[in-house]
Amino acid sequence: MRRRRQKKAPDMVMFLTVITLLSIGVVMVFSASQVTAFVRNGDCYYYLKRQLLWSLIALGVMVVVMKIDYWIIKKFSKLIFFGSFLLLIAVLIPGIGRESHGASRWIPLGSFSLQPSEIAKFALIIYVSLLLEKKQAQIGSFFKGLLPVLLIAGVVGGLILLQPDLGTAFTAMATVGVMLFAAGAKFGHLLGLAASALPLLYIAITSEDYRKRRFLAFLDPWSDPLDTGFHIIQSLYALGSGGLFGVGLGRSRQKLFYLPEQHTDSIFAIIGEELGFIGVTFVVLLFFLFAWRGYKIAITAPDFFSSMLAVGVTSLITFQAIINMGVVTASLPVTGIPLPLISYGGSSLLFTLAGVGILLNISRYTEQK
Amino acid sequence: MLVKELEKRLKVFGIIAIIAFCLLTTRLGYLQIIKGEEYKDLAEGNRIRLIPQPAPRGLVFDRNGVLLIGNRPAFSVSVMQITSKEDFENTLLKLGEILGITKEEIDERIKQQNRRSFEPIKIATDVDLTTITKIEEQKVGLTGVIIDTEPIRYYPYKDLATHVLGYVGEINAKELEKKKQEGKDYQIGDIIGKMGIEQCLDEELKGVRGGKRVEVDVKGNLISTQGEVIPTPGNQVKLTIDLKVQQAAENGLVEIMDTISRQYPNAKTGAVVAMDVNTGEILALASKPGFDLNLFAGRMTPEQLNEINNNPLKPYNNRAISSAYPPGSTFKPITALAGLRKGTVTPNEYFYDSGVYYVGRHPFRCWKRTGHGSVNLVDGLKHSCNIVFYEIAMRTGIDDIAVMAREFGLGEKTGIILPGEAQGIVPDTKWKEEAYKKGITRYATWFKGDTANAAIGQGDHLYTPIQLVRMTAAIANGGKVFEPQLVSAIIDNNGQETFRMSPKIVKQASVSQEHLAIIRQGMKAVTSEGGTAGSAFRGFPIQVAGKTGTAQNAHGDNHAWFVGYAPADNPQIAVAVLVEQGGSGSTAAAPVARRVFEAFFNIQSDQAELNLDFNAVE
Repeated sequence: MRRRRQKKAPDMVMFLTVITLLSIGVVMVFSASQVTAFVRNGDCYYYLKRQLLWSLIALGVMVVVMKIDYWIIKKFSKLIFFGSFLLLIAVLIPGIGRESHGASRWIPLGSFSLQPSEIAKFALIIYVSLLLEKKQAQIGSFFKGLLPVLLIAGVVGGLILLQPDLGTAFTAMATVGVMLFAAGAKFGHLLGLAASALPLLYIAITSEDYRKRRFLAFLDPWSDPLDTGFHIIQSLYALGSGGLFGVGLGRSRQKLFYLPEQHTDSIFAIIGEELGFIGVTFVVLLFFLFAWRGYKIAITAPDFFSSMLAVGVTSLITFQAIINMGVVTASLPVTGIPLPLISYGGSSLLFTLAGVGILLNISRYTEQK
Repeated sequence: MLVKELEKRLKVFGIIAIIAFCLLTTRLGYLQIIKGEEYKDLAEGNRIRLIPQPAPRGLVFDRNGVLLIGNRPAFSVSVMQITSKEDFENTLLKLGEILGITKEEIDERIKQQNRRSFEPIKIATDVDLTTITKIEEQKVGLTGVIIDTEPIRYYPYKDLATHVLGYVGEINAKELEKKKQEGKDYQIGDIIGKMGIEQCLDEELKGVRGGKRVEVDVKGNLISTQGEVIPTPGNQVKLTIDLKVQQAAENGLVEIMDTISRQYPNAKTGAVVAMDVNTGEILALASKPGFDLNLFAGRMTPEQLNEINNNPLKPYNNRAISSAYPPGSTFKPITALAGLRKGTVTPNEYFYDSGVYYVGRHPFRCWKRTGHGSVNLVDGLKHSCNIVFYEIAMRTGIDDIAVMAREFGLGEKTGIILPGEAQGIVPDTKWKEEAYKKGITRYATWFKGDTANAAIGQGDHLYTPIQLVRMTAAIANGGKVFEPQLVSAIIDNNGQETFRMSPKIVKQASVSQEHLAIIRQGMKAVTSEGGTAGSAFRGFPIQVAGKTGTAQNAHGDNHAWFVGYAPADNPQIAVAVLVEQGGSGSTAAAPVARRVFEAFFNIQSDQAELNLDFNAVE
């Protein structure tokens, strides 16, 4: 491969959007976690310190990914995919993976822990982009074009489901679906796939009792206010208490142990309580900006591989954001998906920002069309 | 082509994303702006808690200011579900283990109270300090367990005046329903009087509950107190009861039952009522057996409750007012008064008692088989000679006797404030007709034999001890029938008297003072040497007037009665004593009355002076 054209400045709108989201995240993680941190760790800055540290590391990674020539990514795509595949298997092995709340999602590494599914999502996107570039001509064919991609995605999705982590598996599969569609797959094929995925989803939901109860809880949280509905109700109370302008930064009451996961999956509710409708609308707008710039980068990307990569990364982050906000507003069933760039969590931040680095990288090669 | 196709397809996504973001924003707007206030209120309900603070119940004193019912501080343990169901269940299991109660009992308590979520539910009251310490030590694993102090009813004299004072307990569904219908302010979990003064003066005693409005975190830890209403203690009640007279009555009953237990092993129950002759104030009202009232105030084991509930002697029964008995010879003054008023007998007339009296061909006997020989009315009362009263009753007729009985308040509720008073029966011709219609008697006709039985207080008479003490007081005070008063005064929290007892005359028996004087003379003779209560009052420094009674009992030994008043010439106190299955009034009942008089007149009681003459069978 050789350099095709001169590098430009990266997409500044995208860059600023991400930096703003990241900053909101650091502030809100501190606000949401300080009481819990003090009670659990004796240090109200515990989560703030970690989130700051991880943000800096992740920003460094983002800059590195942004600077390198993106086809190096292409070159290593098989290796990255294979590596993440091994990690996904490793996390399932007792002794390597850490079990918590009945799921094995983490590999402890010293004082930090790694979430293989976070890498796997991006590795899958990179690898599928590569495959799609190769199969570009046969994409209209189900067996020659779609099936190989579906098999690869299915295996990764299946491994994530084994942890079990239905939410992540679902976002990964949906992202691959979007990539297929963008690559030119036939509508009929995709509709058929979606139709055949529905019964699988149904089985996945009803096979596990907790998933079923959670699913029903989202439809009517008040039917079981102290158990399955508790999380949702507390979430709604937080949002409702915020009103238009919010109760003020740092003045959330729901974070006083009422709202579980207040600095991770439920952070959007705390934003809603402290900053009000104005605040959350601003966050929604930022994610919309992100999606818009992401897809714009995909359209103006220099080649098919980078185009697919941009579609994948943008879709993945956007999906996660929509699902997380959907859960918090009781519009979707409860799944443990963090709000990208804002929720507390090292792995998520690291790989999300690496993904953003890819987007910014591609944006430097875009051409006006 | 590809770029154009890609752009087209991504635009589809763009639109989908816009729609998704718009829906999300709309949803947020709905939740935060339209439903905002509602959720805000609900969220406040989440963490704002009203912690009720029960008011200390009003204190109860005797007439001299001696504390009869007080309060003491006690620990209570409540729970509140603030964690997940499983965690809560585990907490309850653990708590149950420490408290020594089963999970089922806890569940039952929770179900009974059925409170809103996030409000404390009381699991145990009056928990001892050792147990509280244990809970405090394990507090980390007991999320949602709250320890509080609350005032608990305290009865320093335990079972003394059980039926006057009464006990308290948590309000039950039925009581709550009733109070709500009456428009009274009662809540689940309130302590309410269940018997005696505690019950009938509950609204005076209960006070006004207070509460704290506190903000708590999800674990129930206090964040701030937003407001507090200090509970107002209940009003203080001063009873007419005189502690030492009450104690004498109860101890006297216990003492006599113990003394006669070899001859009369079934004499285990009885009642005493003492009344101020000139005001109707109740100085003592005892019913045995009673029970330790403290048991109901604190933690009672099911065994303790069963022991009271299943006691064959029925300790809940207030025998002084709720059970009616045939009066036996204590009725004879009424028969005599009826005869005197109708003029069928004069004090100077002498009757001859051969030991038997014939009504038609039916022999009616005097209790003394050999007869008392020649006796007048005063002698008849002194010796309780049946023959004299058979003859007076035959001449007078039952209906006139019944009228006299009613004029002295017999056969009607006295109006004492205690709940559950019995009415009793004054038998006469009309009563028998109606009783026949109801299937109570075999015949509708009143026979002469019925009159003979009624004359000496046997047959169908049924009176309560409180009716008989009122009758006795009326004989002593010139015929004034009082409403018995039990409450002397009620004092509110500012020290103001909101109620002060005033004597209430229900009616005046229309008897002449001369006639009453004859009866009093006879009753004085009863306690003098040779009278039926002569040995019981031998050596007693104050002249007592009285009448013994021995009521036939189809179900066991005879019931022993004594009614009397003292001092005989300046009456102050009247007393009625009943010892069920005590055998004879002379031996089983009169000595108890003596103890009561001793206490009232501050006379040193001397065990040796208590003469029990088992030969004096009436």
